[in-house]
Amino acid sequence: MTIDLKSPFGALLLALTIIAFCYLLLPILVIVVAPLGSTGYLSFPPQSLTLKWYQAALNDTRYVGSFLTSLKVATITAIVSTVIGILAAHGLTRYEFRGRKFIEALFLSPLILPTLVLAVGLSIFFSRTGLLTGTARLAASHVIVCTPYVIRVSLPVFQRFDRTLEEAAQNLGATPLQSFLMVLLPVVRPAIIAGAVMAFITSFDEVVLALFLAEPSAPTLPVTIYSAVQLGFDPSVAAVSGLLVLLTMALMVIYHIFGAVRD
Amino acid sequence: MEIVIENLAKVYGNAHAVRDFSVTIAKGEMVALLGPSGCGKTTTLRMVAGFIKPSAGRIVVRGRDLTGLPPHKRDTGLVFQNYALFPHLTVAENIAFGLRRRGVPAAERDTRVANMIATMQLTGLADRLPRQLSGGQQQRVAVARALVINPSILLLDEPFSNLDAKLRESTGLELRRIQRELGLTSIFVTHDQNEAMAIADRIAVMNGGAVEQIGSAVDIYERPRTRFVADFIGSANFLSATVEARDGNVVTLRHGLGVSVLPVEGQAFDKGRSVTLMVRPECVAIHPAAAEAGLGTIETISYQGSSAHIFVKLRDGDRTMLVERHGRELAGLEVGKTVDLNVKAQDLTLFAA
Ligand SMILES: Nc1ncnc2c1ncn2[C@@H]1O[C@H](COP(=O)(O)OP(=O)(O)OP(=O)(O)O)[C@@H](O)[C@H]1O
Ligand SMILES: [Mg+2]
Repeated sequence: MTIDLKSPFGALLLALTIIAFCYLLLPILVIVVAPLGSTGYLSFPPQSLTLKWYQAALNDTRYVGSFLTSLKVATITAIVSTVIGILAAHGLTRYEFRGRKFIEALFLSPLILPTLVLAVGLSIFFSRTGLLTGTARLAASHVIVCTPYVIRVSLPVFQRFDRTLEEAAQNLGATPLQSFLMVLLPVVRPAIIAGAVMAFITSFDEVVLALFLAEPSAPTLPVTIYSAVQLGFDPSVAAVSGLLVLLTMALMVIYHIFGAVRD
Repeated sequence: MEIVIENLAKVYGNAHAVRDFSVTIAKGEMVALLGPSGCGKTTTLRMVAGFIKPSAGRIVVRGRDLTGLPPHKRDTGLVFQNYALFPHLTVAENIAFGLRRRGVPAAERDTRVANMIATMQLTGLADRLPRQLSGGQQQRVAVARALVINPSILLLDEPFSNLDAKLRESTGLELRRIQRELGLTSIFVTHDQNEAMAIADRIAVMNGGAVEQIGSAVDIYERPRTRFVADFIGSANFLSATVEARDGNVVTLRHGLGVSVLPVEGQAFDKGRSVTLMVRPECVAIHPAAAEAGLGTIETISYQGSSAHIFVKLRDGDRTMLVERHGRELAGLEVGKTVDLNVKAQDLTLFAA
């Protein structure tokens, strides 16, 4: 269906679309642009343009250090939860066992888990057992939150996967493991990348678990931002947020390049 | 023998998908599994390929018992009904897949793939992805991929069913030519009897999981062993008959079209027994007759160009006979006309009961 944008209905549709996009995108624009102002407080639109707050953010060792911590945690989380999530999706679609339907429905329904409760529970658990320390402790907690996302994204794709492809591979001499690695994984690759990116972003952005479980000496970026905001609001915090928006956009671009189906 | 399948069976719960399937196939022979939907063709083929574990029986290929082996150790080439081409690999990569798994050196691999691409008339398409191909091209890639590994047996599951009618016949004959050239032993599944008769050396007609008859196309068409086979292959007229007299191995039968004398064996054909006769539509002679004298009246004539199907309602009872004539030999035959029908004893097939 095509709509003539000059017709009254078309014009209305166009206006609504523009309003919706503005509503969604303007705050992001504000975050990126506001720190360009030279005043010592945030204002929009910025007065005279300067990069000094961005510079300040990039030169601040707290931000840079916690950025690296976040990067490490998010990377570990993305890898581990993607591997677990994919194996789970594979198992759920390939094998018959008791409770399979239940587990499937559980992962496909909207997930409700109060992070605060989980954070308290996990910090008690880790301090009692002494299992895992530092970054690994936080990454392990993030894996708990992120794995269901990966499963949710990949399960429908695994369900739609044509199993005769794997049979064809085995008929041609591939072992079951080879057919998994060389046929199934490449075919469902877009789902895997989507799941991994989602896990990465979720972990990178997560603040509650990080507040409770990160080493006090090595906080993640959201925790650092959170404390900075509590102490007082200087535009370098906003600059950090602006940088994060840019990083996210870069990730989305990467995702579209590698996640898209080969043409 | 190249392939020996012995008493193969598959039971799901209490349903017998395949029962007591036995066949021996000679080197280079092509056998078709033919039968109605649900008769167990795919199940049989997948047991040979190793995707379904048989409930009983053995599969021996070139003296090697495959029965317990996983699919990737069986060395069978299977062409799937939906082709199952790897969507993320190009035509050349698809064809090379099996060679890579066998560790064939790169140089030899490239030559074999190139040769196969030429044989299957896929030149110029090597770098395309499967979804950039037509159905017929995809089908040829699927066959190429299965052939290039020189399988000890080629298995095809309704390989032409996704092609349109014209392409189906030419592709079938082309496949047959290549299969002959390479001397490949082959089993192919179809529910299309024309395809089976045109391509296969022998046809195994299956029904309800069991083989009803195995034989050449001529065998099963002219000498069907069961009523099911007679009915399933081509068109058949069935006539009930009674044994009027038996003299040794010769019986005299009375039926709707008159009296016939036939040689028989077995006690099912003793005097007084009721039996069934089958005659093919093209073996029934039809002549215009005087109104009172004729055996029946023409109900419908379905003209099909080279031939015509004439439906004749018999005067005694409400049985309708199908008669086939050349399209140009319809003089004097019109709907409503009274006709006489004759059959020759040698064209009759006799079934007990
Ligand atoms: N996994 C299964 N569980 C139970 N019954 C099955 C299973 N697979 C097949 N069957 C039954 O076994 C019978 C044979 O099936 P099969 O697929 O071999 O038939 P087919 O001859 O290939 O039919 P078609 O021409 O429709 O493809 C069918 O009645 C089918 O319902
Ligand atoms: Mg089938």
